Amino acid sequence: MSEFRVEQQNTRQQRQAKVRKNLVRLAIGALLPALILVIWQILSTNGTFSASQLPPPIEVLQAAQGLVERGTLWQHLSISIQRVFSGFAIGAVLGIALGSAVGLSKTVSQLLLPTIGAVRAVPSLAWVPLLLIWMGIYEEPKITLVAIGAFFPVFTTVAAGLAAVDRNLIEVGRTYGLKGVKLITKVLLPAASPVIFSGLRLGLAQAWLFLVAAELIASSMGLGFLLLDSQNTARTDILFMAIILLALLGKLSDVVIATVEKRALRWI
Amino acid sequence: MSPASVTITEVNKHFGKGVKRVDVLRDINLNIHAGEVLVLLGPSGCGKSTLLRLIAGLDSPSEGQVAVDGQQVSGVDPRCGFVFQEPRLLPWLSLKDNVAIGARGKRSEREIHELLASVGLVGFEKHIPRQVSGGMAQRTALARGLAGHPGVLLLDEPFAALDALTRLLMQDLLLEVAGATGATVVLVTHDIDEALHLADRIVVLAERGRGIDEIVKVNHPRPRDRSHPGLAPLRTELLSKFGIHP
Repeated sequence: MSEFRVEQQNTRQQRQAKVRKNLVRLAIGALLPALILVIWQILSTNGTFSASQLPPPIEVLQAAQGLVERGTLWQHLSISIQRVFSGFAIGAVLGIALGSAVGLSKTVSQLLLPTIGAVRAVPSLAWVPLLLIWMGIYEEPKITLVAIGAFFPVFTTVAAGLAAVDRNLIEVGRTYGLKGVKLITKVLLPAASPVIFSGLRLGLAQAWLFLVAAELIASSMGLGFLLLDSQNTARTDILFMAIILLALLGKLSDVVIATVEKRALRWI
Repeated sequence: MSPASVTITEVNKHFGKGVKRVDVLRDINLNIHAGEVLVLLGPSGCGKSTLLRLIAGLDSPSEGQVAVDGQQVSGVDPRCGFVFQEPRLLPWLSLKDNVAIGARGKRSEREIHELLASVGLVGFEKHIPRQVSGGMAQRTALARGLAGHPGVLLLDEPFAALDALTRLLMQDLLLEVAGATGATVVLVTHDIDEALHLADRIVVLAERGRGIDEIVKVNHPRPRDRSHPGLAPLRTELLSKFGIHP
């Protein structure tokens, strides 16, 4: 039959071409950071800024090395990663659960949406004093704040995504006897998965944001604390290092989800 | 399941209420015999798709009854297979897994393989819908419709979106595979030639809310020659019903 459109096998040449394309993409992506580094180096050494305003790149690297040698850098990093991870996990699970309920049921939606909308309107930092009174000053209030941050983007996108699933596909499921939980897991969630993934990525970004907020306010460890501490001790080099680490970690964690997303959404 | 009969008794269907009420079907009485190929023909908006959905249990009649094999239809009916106008395959599942959805867990891996083979899709089991052509997707939908051993196969303008050549191939394929399973076939179309090629009986629906206009028997043996002169008078008759006088 002439209409068959066969997917072509990946030949070796095609694979090589793909590797080359990826390298080129990487190089183009690295262009701007390299340029920034050069400008940074120039501005920090030609007298435009003092070392306390803008330390040269090498000093930032040395600051990192110093912290590594004292063994504290890893402590700060790991506690922050741990907080983001736990908070994001809690917020994402709750966001998917409540988002599904709201997206699938009109009644639940009418019941919950006004309240959740109001809670969402509370600026994140307004929760901090309350969380401190309720939960003390250890890990719980920080993880809770991160969870609140991660929850809302996930909740909103999951609810919207499920409510917008193609009626025709749902009808196919119904036609072939799928209902209840089976209809949800076999049709609704897969159909909404592209939106759910973008919600998870937004939630993760927001989790990092709320982490820094939590650590700036009440902590003795973590990258947010490092920011505050370096400001108080006028260590601009450490401050820059902390900012760069936050950028790297945020990007890295997003890449992790993006990779999972790419594999899960191959059908798109 | 062996071929099932469909009995439609005094069926009315309207949508909306009050001034917005639209009567789509009125006073429909129809007996569809087990194993026959029945084509519902009519202008667009005449309610033919609605009638099909009533048989499948996807909608329920406002008044009257629909029964498959003498048993009343209430809710989505497992005795019916359905092929929509678009393939409506789940885009994240392979063709094989899409057919498996239609099987409702009643078919082995091997049987699903054979079903895909019967619609000419050997070697495409693991492809996903976006990788295949519209014709192949619709063949998959046909295999899915037959996968649950339906007594009645319902098709809602299944070939309307395909190119002319593929449409002709699909019509023959339908007779072949549905004939092999022995399911009763009820097909909705607005294509007179399609109706003449496939049907044992053609039910012509009048305009919206006016019920059945006429039931035409097509007494020609299969396989039919599309240009058989014996079909010409019927074609002329049907065309004139839709206001076209050749």
